[in-house]
Amino acid sequence: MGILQGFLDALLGLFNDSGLMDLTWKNYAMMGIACVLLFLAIKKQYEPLLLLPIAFGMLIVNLYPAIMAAPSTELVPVQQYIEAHGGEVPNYAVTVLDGINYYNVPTNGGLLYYLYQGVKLGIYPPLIFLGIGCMTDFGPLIANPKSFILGAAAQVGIFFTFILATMVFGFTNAEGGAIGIIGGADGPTAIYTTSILAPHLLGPIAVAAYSYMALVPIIQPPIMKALTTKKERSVVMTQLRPVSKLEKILFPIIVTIVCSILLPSSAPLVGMLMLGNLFKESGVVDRIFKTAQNELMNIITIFLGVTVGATATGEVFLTLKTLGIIALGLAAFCLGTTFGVLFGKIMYWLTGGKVNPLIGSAGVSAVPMAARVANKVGQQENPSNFLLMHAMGPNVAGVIGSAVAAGVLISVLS
Amino acid sequence: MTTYLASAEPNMSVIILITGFAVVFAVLILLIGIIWAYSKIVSSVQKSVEKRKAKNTPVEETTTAEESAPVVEDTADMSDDLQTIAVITAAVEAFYGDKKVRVVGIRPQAGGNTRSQWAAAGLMESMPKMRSEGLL
Repeated sequence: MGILQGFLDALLGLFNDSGLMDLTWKNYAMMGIACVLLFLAIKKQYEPLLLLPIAFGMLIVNLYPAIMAAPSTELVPVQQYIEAHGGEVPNYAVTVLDGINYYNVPTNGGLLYYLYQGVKLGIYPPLIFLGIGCMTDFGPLIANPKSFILGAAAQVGIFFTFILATMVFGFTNAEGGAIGIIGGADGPTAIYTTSILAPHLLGPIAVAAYSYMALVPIIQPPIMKALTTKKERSVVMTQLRPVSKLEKILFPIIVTIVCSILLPSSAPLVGMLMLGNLFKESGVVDRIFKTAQNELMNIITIFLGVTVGATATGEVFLTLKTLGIIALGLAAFCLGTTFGVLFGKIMYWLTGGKVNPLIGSAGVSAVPMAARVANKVGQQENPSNFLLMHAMGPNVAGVIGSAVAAGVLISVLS
Repeated sequence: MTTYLASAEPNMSVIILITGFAVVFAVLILLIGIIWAYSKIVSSVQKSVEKRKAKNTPVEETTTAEESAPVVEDTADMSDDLQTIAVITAAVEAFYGDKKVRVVGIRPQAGGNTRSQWAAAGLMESMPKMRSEGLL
């Protein structure tokens, strides 16, 4: 009977400790959302490299919230502790409450809490940028530096979204800055900026940023066609000049010096991006170049994705604020595309019709998706018009532009 | 910076909009100027190096080139043409797969090459089957 009673007590204890007792409807709702995101990532292939770990992180934190718990201390009666540990007397601090002595027993944090420190301390996003720099060719930008204008124009959407967030939706300035950076269409930049300005909104902002980046081929074309004429879309641009190896080696060094001196808060992102590019262009560090763009990038992507997803708990995600973030994220993308195309039109007029305005939409730094969209829309008017390399200039300029914009927001708002 | 902007609280959003707009454009326009300048410097330095190299060995190279030119050009032209024909024929056969095909003639387009390198590269990209066959 004693054994049976003990067995039943153990089962009852397990049941009381299980998620079935502790989880609320919000947790179950978030599990449903996580499964939808997993479907989008796997079946529809919406940015799967990041959306899959984000979705899974979201699922696991809502199944077992303690996986993200911070380390803490537990008050255990001294006598109880010593009896439970065979008379061993530990070296813990003692607290006296109502005349009873308690040991302050430290408890470890959850698995994802420790991995999340890379996000919280701003380590993972710059390392992702290191890998991105290794994979980026700045040749089209060096061949046509005017593309920087288009890269800058597309970032205007960030600041107009900031205005909408603060003056219309009632977010604070720091929250508005974190939401506005979604318009940069750059995942690591959005995560880096949000972890500094509004870490409590990291989950919804990351999900919104990566979802909209995957939707660029759907969001951009209607705006591009609405703002341009057939004649403008049909412009065939002259071939870009060849860029020498020396120019490609000097570029990352010069950009790092200029951006870091003028805007030190952009140094972690811009500096790591350019370091990765220097690995690539120098040609003398093949081993670390390969590591940076493969193994390191993959490891950081896993840690970043899972831990960012794990910040999306029901309490944070299932609020009206999240709906606002989703709406503002869409506005940010639309505004970025709009301003990029408008500046493309200005360049078309100023150059007497030599610049195709469609490449302005590629200033939204979703590399290389936005450049491919510009190429595709151009080919719909003129099938022999290949804008891809011309659009890559504003596309990679947008990566630098969004990092500079993030630096401005962090510098002003933090 | 937020401390000395606090006095302009009601207009802070607009101030941040203008600041962000101005700073991003200023930094990137500065980069345009610097990149344009160093590209000019690099290209002029490289041109002067090439000129110096060309000046150093002018006579011997010309003589050697003239002597060997007729023979080298002829065989090079022929083997180049044959190789080109072989590649085109293989590409056409691969494109049609199981169907039997015969290439009866390859003629240069009247008016010379009107297609830019970018356009040619794009055409190659749009032939997925040739790529999967490993011919491109």
